[in-house]
Formats: sequence, structure tokens, C-alpha cells
Amino acid sequence: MRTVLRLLSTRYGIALILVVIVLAIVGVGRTILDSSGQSSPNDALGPSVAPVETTPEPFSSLGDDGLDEPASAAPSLSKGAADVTTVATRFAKAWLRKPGITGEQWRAGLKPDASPDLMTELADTDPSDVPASTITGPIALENIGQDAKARVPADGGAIVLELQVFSGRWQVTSLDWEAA
Amino acid sequence: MSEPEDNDGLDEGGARRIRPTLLIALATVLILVCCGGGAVSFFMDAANNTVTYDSGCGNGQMVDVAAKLPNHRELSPEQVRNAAIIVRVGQDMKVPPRGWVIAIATALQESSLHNLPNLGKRNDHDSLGLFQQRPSTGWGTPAQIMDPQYASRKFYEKLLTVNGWETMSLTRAAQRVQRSAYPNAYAKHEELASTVVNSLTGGAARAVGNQVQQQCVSANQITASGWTAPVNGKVGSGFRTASRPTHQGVDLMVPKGTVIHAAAAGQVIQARCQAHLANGTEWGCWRDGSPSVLGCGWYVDIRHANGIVTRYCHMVKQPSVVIGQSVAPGQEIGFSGSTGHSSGPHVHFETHINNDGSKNGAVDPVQFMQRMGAPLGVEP
Repeated sequence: MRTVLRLLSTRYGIALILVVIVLAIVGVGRTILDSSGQSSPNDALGPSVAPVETTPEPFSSLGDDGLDEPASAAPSLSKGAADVTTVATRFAKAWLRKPGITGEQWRAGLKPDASPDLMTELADTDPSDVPASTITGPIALENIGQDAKARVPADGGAIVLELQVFSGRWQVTSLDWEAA
Repeated sequence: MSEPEDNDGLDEGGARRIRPTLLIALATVLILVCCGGGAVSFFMDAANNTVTYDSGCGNGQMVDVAAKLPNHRELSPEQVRNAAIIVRVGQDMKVPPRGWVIAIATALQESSLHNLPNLGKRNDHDSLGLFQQRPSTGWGTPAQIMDPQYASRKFYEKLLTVNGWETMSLTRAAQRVQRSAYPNAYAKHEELASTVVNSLTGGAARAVGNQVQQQCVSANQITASGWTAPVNGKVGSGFRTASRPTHQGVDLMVPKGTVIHAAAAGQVIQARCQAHLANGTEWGCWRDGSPSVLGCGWYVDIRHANGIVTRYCHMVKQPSVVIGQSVAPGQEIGFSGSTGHSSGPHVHFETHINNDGSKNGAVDPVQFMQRMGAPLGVEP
């Protein structure tokens, strides 16, 4: 026991004591800091999926400040505007591959029922790339409110359209193809 | 250990001189052995946060296409191998990770990541290979196009010529290269393409999309998978908390007039004012709402690929986008405010799945956005 005490009073011993003190202080400090939640979301090693900090609920008295459901669902069509089935069918027919049609002729047929953004996407398309040439069955619609999804069966697959009511009429906003 | 020394007195022998050094050496070894790991984490912030493989933002390494590749639930080893080739060619060409996601999503649509030969009668024109490129339209000889490395390089070369490809929606960027007859085909593959990129690269689809140096996104940056936080504000109230069980989203704390960004590419399916009193009297969005006003105020709904819908409420004025418009990831859609059922400026943000914008489709935005690599509440 005495020897241990004597060893501690050598310079090696003092060095050891100092190391222990430093470790203790750092350790205590870190524990306190950590419990106050000061960990950075990004660090040297990479991301941590740290829990998102939540400030005390500022709107706790608000309850649901989202949509007051049900939001009005009836599409606000202009007088005389075509219904969704008519628009989807007309667009699908105009899209089909037709021998000898030019890109300009093809786009002119699509334009009345397509959204401006969709027409932009079709600007460089070669109409001979259209994979179908005939519609083979009845159109199927789902989710009809202000927007709808339509599937039109055709030779070799189905034309998949998304439509929305805006500017008072149904317009095709998205065009996809499901190969059979 | 101390017994022999008890009788030593003042007689200091040469052998004993070594003892202190020996003791300290022993102690040091002991400390290192028993608490080595702890000692490191003692001084390092980083080690306090567990970093799992799945939450990284890219390991910065080149994909080795000849090595054993990760298994994938939805893809065969051959498909994963082709995806690895696409990523590697992108890395070699110094294309940032957004390009890898676009290229893999395109190949998923065109060939399901199979290096398709000519399928005879079923073949579309003379299209070949991973990206269904055509010799007759100048993509290369059939033999060249059937080389996945060549085909990938040609795809990237064309993509890099598209002005602003890094910031546009995936489906638009892909369509600029492919000129398909059904331009919205690519968006639905963005999620799977991102998953594949993540598994091959240690999470590069979660990294900043438009820079080669891989790094997790901070505020206002867009991931390679095409997601971003709509504003960079703290999460005030959470999703369906004990005190607000009907709170179908989160409240993001930002001052009035803060730009709100589209969380991802999609179609605007709603952009309008909803603010009325409980008795149905219209309140309007030309003035701030209050807790006695019902509704979202000026708000926007965006439909993304794979049945995801996001909602942004209480904008200060009419949104910057209109119904039917396509938005790019991070595009400005409006400015924060306090219209509708609100007692102060904030953005009420909702995330929905199954193409269901009602409360039945709502999921926790904090978890959802974290999964997409664009966590909410990140400080700038």
C-alpha cells in the first residue's frame, strides 16, 4: 500500500493522476452536454439519423390545422365542357399510331385535351414510336374528383392517363404506357 | 504485488528502478484493453452517433462491377450488375449522383435493366440494349449498343447536353434524352432506382444530387433521389401528438414570407384557398386566419410518383403554381403565412401515401422525409 502511494508521488504517478482528472472532467462535461441534446445532425463520420428536434408545441390549442375535410370534390367544369370519359377516349385515339402521320399532325390532334406541360414533353416525340394502333376495350376510370386516372386497353398493353380539371375543363396531365 | 516491497526500506536496488515504469506500462495497457473504444468516443463527437450503412450519403468509392454485389429484393443479380455498370460509368465520367438515378430509372423503364438483344417481331423498331437505343438514329452500331458500358456512356453524354438536367424532374430529364411516346413513364422508377443506387454506393442517392463530392443534404439542397425539405424550419408540433391527435401533419416554424419548395417533382393537383367559419361563412385568405377559422388557408397539393401526395398549408398569398402544372424538385410553390386555421406564421406540411390526400393516407412527415433522405428541421 505504501509503495503504491510512493509510486503515485513520483512524476509518473503525478502524470497518471493528471490523466485521470482530465478524463473525469471531460467525461462529466460530456454527459451533461449530451443530456441537453446538443448533438449536431451532421458530423465528420457521416449522417446521423438523429431525432428531429421538436420545439414545445406552439399551436397546441389549434388541433387540426390541416384540410377541413371533405374538401369540395365536384369538379368545377365550364358550361358545355366534355366529361372525363370523353376527354380520355378522345386523347387516347389521337395518340394511337397512324401510318404516314407527321409529328405536327399528331401533336395537333393531342393538343386540345393535353395540359401545356404534357405538350412540352411530347415536343420531340416521333409518332411512329407509339406502341399501339387500336383501342381494344372499354375505358376504366378511378379516383374521380378534381382529378382522375384512366386506363385505356389497346393492342399490346394499356394507355395510362392522369387527368385534372383546370381552366374549367378536363385535361390530360400525364401519359404512360403499360405493356401487356 | 506490494508485499515484497514492504521490507525494502531505503535500499534502492537497480532492479527496483524499473518498477514504476513497468507499473505505468501495465496500467496503460490495461486502460487501453478495457476501455479503448470508450476512450475514443470520449473525445469524439462523431462516435457518439451510430452511423449505420443504411443511413449514409455515399461512401465515395468507385463501384467495382466485378465484385460481389448486394442482393436486391426486387431485382435479379443480372439486373443489379447492369445497374452497377451504369453507376460506374457515371462515376468514371464524373457525372453527379442525380445522373446515376436518372440513368437507372430510364433503364428500368426501357429494358427492366436487361441488356436486351433484338426481340424479332416484338422489337420496337431497331432498339437495343439497356436504354433501347437505335442504330438507325445515330446511337451506334448494334454491337456497340449491346455493350452496357458503351450504352451507358452514350446515355450520359446525351443527358449532359440537356440544359438544367440536374434540377428538372427525373421524368422530364429522361424524356429529353429518350423522346418517348409516353413521357411520364420514368417517374415511377425513381424510387427503385434510388434504392439501387443507395445499395451500391452506401447511400449516394441521399447525397446532394448535383455535386460529384458526396455529402448529405443540408437546407435547400436536393438529394440525388429528388427530394428536399419544403422549408428549413424546426418542427413545431409533430404528427398526431398526444395533445393534437388529429394533427395530420407537422408544423414547420418559419417567418411569414418564407419561400416554400416542392418536396419532390410532381403534378399540382390543388392550389386554392380554404378558410371558413364553423357555420360555413367564408372568411377568405386575403387576411390572416385564426383558431376560430377552419381550413388550410392558401394551400397546394402535389401528386408525386407511386401514389405519394404532399400538402402545404397557410400560405400568405395565392400560391405560385396552378393546378395541372408540373413542378420540379425544390421548385418555389408559394410563401409561408398564417391563412386559415392558424394562430401564427408556419407551414403545415403533410405527406400521404396510396394516392389518398385524406387523413386516411397521412403518414408522419418526419419519418417519411428522413426515409427520402431530406430530413425536416435541419438548420442551414
